[in-house]
Amino acid sequence: MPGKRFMAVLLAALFLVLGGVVVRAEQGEVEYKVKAAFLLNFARFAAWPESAAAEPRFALCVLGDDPFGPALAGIESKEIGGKAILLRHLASAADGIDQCRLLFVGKSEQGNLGRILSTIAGQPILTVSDIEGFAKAGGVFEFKDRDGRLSFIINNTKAKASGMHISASLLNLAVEVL
Amino acid sequence: MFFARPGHWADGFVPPAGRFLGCGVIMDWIDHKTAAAVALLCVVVVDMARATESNEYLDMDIGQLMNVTVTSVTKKAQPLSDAAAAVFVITQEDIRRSGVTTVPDALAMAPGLQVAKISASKWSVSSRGFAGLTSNKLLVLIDGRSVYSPAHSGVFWDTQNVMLEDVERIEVVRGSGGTLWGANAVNGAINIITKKAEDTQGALVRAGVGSQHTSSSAARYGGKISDVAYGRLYLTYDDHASNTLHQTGGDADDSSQPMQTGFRMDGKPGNGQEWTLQGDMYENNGDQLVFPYWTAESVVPAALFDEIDAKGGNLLGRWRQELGDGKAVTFKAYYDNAQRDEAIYKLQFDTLDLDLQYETKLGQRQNLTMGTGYRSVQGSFDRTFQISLPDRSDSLYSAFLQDEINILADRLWLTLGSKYEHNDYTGSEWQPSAKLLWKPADRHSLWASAARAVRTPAIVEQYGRLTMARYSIPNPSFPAGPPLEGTVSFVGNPDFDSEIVNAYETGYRWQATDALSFDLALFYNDYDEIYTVKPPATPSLDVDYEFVNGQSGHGDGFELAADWKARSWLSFILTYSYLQLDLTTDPMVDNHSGSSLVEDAAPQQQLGIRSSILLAPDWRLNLWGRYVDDIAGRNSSDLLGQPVPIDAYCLLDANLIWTPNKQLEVMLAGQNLTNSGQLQYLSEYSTPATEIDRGVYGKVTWRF
Repeated sequence: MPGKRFMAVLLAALFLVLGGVVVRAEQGEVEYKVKAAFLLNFARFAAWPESAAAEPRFALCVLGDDPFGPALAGIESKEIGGKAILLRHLASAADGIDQCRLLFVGKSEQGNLGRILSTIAGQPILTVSDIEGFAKAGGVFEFKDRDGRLSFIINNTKAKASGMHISASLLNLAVEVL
Repeated sequence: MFFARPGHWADGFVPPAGRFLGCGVIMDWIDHKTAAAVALLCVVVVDMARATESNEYLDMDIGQLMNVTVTSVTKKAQPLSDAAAAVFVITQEDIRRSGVTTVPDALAMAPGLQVAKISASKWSVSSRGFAGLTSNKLLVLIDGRSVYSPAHSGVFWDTQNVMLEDVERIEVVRGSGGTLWGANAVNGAINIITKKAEDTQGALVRAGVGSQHTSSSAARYGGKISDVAYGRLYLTYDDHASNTLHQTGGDADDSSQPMQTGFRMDGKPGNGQEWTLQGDMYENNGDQLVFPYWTAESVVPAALFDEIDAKGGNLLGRWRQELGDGKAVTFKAYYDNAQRDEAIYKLQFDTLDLDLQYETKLGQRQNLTMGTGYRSVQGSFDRTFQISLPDRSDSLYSAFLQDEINILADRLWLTLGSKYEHNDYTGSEWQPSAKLLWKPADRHSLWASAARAVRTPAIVEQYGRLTMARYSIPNPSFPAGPPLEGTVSFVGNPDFDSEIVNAYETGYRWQATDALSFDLALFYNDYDEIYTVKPPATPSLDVDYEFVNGQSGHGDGFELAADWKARSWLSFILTYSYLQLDLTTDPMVDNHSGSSLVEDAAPQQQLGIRSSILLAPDWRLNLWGRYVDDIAGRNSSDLLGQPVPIDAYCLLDANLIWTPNKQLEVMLAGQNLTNSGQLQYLSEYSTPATEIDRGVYGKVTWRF
């Protein structure tokens, strides 16, 4: 039946035409949308020392190549501990990394990891990354894929050493606490 | 329509300044009339942008976030998609967006599968050819429990009424799965995996009405049993209306009313232990029109308006203990009872299955998995004129060993393994396989495999008797007297052996970008000892065709799946399958119908395109088009006649989902929208050609 074959070809053509229209494929949206939401939750279940409590805004930083893209849209309208969020993108650790309260380390920084973590050692900065081995290397939160769902490892020793407190309910949810 | 409402921006979203500015600048230099239109357009565009850009996950709490499956994006993180096999995963989201209301209908989303609806309660679901109501080269498991019926080697789909909202995912593995799953996974295995109880907490109520699916209702409640254990209970009831007879346009009398209830409990008591206990009970009351229906009294086929009563239940337990260092022990046991009472099948099966598995690491680079299993199948049958089977009590013993060797760290893996089974029909069966997976770079994986798999005989093929036709001829020695009457039957043959496939496959998976991925699989299957029927050597009035392993040949082809998330609000999934079967019948068999029936029952090409469009934050439109090449089926009222052709056809499903809040979901769906009725397959036995009618339904799902 040529009519039905035609429909099939039409469907295929539609798919291909739409393929040509889109110039830029978007970032892995669900994964990083969920990771962005995790960042908020990590911050809400953590407490910073007095020195940081006085700051008017909560600085949430992304260091290196930003994997979130549009997934962070709207995050600045959220609050953490009654403070508005200030979203900052840092090209390198030299860009005022010490003002960050939550620092997401992008995969592009994998090679500089040791240097970054030693720069901020002892400072009340909650570090998060999806670099494998991040928590072992001295980061606080490491995302972990568990059968297609996201979980995380917490390096609580490091968090305590930096003067931060992570709530027990969050520690309970972690796949591993170091 | 989905225009912005006043004060729309206030709820937590600030539109990007650039977009607003763009609209403002345009409006400054055009006249007022056009400005109004542009303003409207801008509002729409910005509203779409809002749908695009606000991150809907930001308001979720951590418990909810940990339950979001990000598999669709990070497919490579999934152990199965790292497998050296042609795997396609149908996710819960795919099921929800497809608007399907039954498990077999959902399977049509996978490439390489031929899913044809025979009537309201019968399907032919097959992989890489060999379609049929008794499609026997595809194994189907629900949470590890086989639903492949040993009576005729196939699945009674009308009693597999898993609550679709509770399905976590369906893994469709094409190609030989004998090493992992054992006999009968010749051309594939389907794993239907339901959610863990902790992922189905709270209540869900679904109510739907429609033209074909006249009633669709379900209820589920999930709760916490203790600090470490969760449970759920569910109940579903469906009413499927009858379809239309192809030849006469009359009522096909195939309505069906399945009901199923069940529970699942999962616990993690700590110390690396994990357990699951689950069970179901079901009953399907349906009608069927049996034609041709042969009786001992007449040589003229009758049409019988029959009632189906199929019921059963099962209980499954699984316990896993992790022992550290990648070692783990898993024990699984299930009991399954399946009964069927209708004009043709009057049977009952009781199955007990025990399965023990041990995983361990061997040095730094090897993962060793070994297992052993035992299955007891008790079958009892009431003889009908259509089919006669002896009561059976069968045992199956199995053992398997598989070693995954990481030859080059994170780049190259070799998996070697074999299953050994001993069954009461053919004795020992070996099903080895070798698989190679190579990841030359991130986002690219290439795989190749060689495997042997078998399909062990169904009871009917060794010990059964099927009435296929009756006829009369004038009495040659007394032409004036009453004619002589005879019966054509297919009879079992105790020497009937297993069917064998040697399968060679290769594939390539490419995650081109985070939003675009491709999956290509090519295969060459070498078949031997495929079943057919052999006419008797000496002529007699009653013609007994014997089941024999009289066909051999090959099947080859490829399947392509492309997944493209073009925008955060627009996605496409394309599947394409190409198949060529070439079988020849052994000349000694001398069978007229031969191998062309098997070849012609498989469509050479199949195409599917699904698209999902988020029209506004709370409105989603889903479209699904399918194309199936022309096939031919057996004319069941004239067995030796020419195959009956079914022209190529297209099916279009569409639905609109409205989710005003997290609790409520409303769907309006249409199935088979372009045809008033579509003949999809001709059953090789007793169901007259039935056109599946167009269906429209609406449903409301409420979670609280």
